[in-house]
Amino acid sequence: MINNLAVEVLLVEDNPDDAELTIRVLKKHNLANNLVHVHDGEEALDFLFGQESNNLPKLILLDLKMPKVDGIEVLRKIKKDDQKKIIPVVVLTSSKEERDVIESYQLGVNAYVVKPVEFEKFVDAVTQLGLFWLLLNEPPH
Amino acid sequence: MKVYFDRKVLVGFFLALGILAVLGVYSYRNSRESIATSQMVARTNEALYHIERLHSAHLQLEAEVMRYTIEVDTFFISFYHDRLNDARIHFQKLMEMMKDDPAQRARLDSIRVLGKKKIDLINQVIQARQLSIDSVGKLIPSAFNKSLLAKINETIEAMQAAEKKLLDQHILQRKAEISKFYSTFITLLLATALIMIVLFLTINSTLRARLQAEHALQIASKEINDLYHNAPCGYHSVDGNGLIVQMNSTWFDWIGYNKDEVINKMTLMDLLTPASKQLYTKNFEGLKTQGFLTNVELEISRKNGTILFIILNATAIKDEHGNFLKSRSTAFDITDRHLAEEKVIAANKELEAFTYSVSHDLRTPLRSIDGYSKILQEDYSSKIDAEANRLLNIIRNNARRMGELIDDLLNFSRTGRKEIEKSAVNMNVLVANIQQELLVPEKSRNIKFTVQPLKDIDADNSMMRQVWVNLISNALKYSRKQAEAVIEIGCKPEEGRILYYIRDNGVGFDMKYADKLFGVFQRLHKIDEFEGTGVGLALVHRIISRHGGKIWAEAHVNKGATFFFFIPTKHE
Repeated sequence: MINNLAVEVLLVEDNPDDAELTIRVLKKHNLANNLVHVHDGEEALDFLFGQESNNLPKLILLDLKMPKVDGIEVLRKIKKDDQKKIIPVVVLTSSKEERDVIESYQLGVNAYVVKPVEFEKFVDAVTQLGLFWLLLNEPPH
Repeated sequence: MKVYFDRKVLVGFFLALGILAVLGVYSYRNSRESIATSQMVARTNEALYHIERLHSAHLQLEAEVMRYTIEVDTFFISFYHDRLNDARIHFQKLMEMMKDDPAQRARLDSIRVLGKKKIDLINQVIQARQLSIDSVGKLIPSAFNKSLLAKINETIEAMQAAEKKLLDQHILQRKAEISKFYSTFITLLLATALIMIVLFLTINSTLRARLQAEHALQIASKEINDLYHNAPCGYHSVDGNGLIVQMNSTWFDWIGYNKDEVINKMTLMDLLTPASKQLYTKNFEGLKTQGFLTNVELEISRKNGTILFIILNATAIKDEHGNFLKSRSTAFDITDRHLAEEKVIAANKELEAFTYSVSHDLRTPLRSIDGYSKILQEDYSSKIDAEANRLLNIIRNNARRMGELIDDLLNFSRTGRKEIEKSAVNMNVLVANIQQELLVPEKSRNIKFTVQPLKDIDADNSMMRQVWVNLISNALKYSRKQAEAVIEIGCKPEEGRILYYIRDNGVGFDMKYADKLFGVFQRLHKIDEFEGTGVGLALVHRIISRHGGKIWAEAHVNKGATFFFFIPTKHE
């Protein structure tokens, strides 16, 4: 973990292969320098709301279907917290289910992206996500 | 019919009453006449009595005068005065009684004259008697006295005869009256009796008919009661406050409460589960204002605590001012249906969970297969040869195809479960938008695409969109090999329906495989010739079927294909 530098991206992803592919794409564009990867919702909540935590990443990439605490629950906690709710959260998931999309938007997600099966499309999606949210988007200070 | 009977009875009744009144009046008059006649008879008898007494007084006097002339005694004088007085009294009576009878009066007058003469004679006798007896002897047996005596007797007899004749007349008249009275009385009595008999028969038959009608009514009411209570559905009525005022036995069997516990004691609200109370309150208000309540599904809490699911329909019974009196409610037991529905819901949930897993978990490994194959090609390009690259491409192609299959399958499954939300769909706008989208990647091709004006349709907009996307994609795909692809979309009325069609000049297909066209994963072309999963037309078919419509195709190999479909309107 990179403790001294401000964390830019929090990747919440239980599948190590998907996580590796995502990190690989972000790295290619120098977007993964300060990236933290946690493996389920519980770890994500610990990272964000832990005792000594004062972490406010620039972007959270959130998978939905995870063991223990799922992505929807993590999203709900983030968007309920006055301090954390300003962090852009992008759901990056395999689920195309409409109820997931609707519930995420109702909870205040900033974007909902379905991971394409085709690798090229996946690369495109992650690249554009990273570029947009980390470089183009102007977050509140 | 009934009015006729009543009138007949009424007429008969008044007729009988009238006859009785006539009889009464007649009897009264008859008795009055009878009394009058009796009085007349009595009067005549009285007159006869006085005449008799007068006659006897005269005869006695005559006899005493005779005796006096022979043997003088002083007693005669007083006797004479007594008789004379008697005669006077009776004479006076007769005078009074006969003042209206001139004939008798005339006789009385002559008696008075004769009587005076007689008195004169007697006075002469008395005076003469005091002088000498000889002169007396000449006075009484005289011719004058004899003629006087005869005349008086004659007159009295005449009077008696007249009175007797009168008496006979009165008695005859009385007899005639009585006989007339009896015959009339009996005739009228018989008439009354006859009317009474007719009346009795009429009333009796009316009464019998009424009794029979009542009996029939009782049977009918029993039958209706049986239908009400033993119907296969629940019937009840509630008043304006919701209190149950009527309920059939079917209901009581359902809920386990008895009549005495429910009628006029419980409201339907009391029987509902908390979940149903609010729904019922809302609908009950609607029943009172709108006058009906349709297909409200409610949960009833039985006495034993179990739950009964019913579907409730009701209409309001109102008085002439429009005030709510009570409901006419029907309830059906839908517990079985409800349990089946719950099973379906559970099965659907399971299916949903399953498809959710499929969509998420099946895709993830495919991404890894594709992703890591690509990484292998990128990072180890110097170490793998062309054949290894070709093999890796095959792996990646299949992973992608699998991804497409999963997507299409999920889409297909979702379309089958999704609720249809019908609205008026503007087909012209819909088709124009899709055409625009789908033609973008086909810019290089020579396509003649015509769309005739399309009628609007009542259908689910997003599903209709899916139908046109798939049909137009197919037309574009299978006409790919033509120098100029010709695609035409239009609609035409046929048998009262609007038939939509899309025609292309593509490769078409052999009609003997037409039945396979709309099956899931059914393909009529080789995968390396035309790509696809074989789900597109199956999806279109499912959407059209779920709208109650039909889709079919006509085609020839290498001469294009035409797809037709229709969706019934609301009225069908």
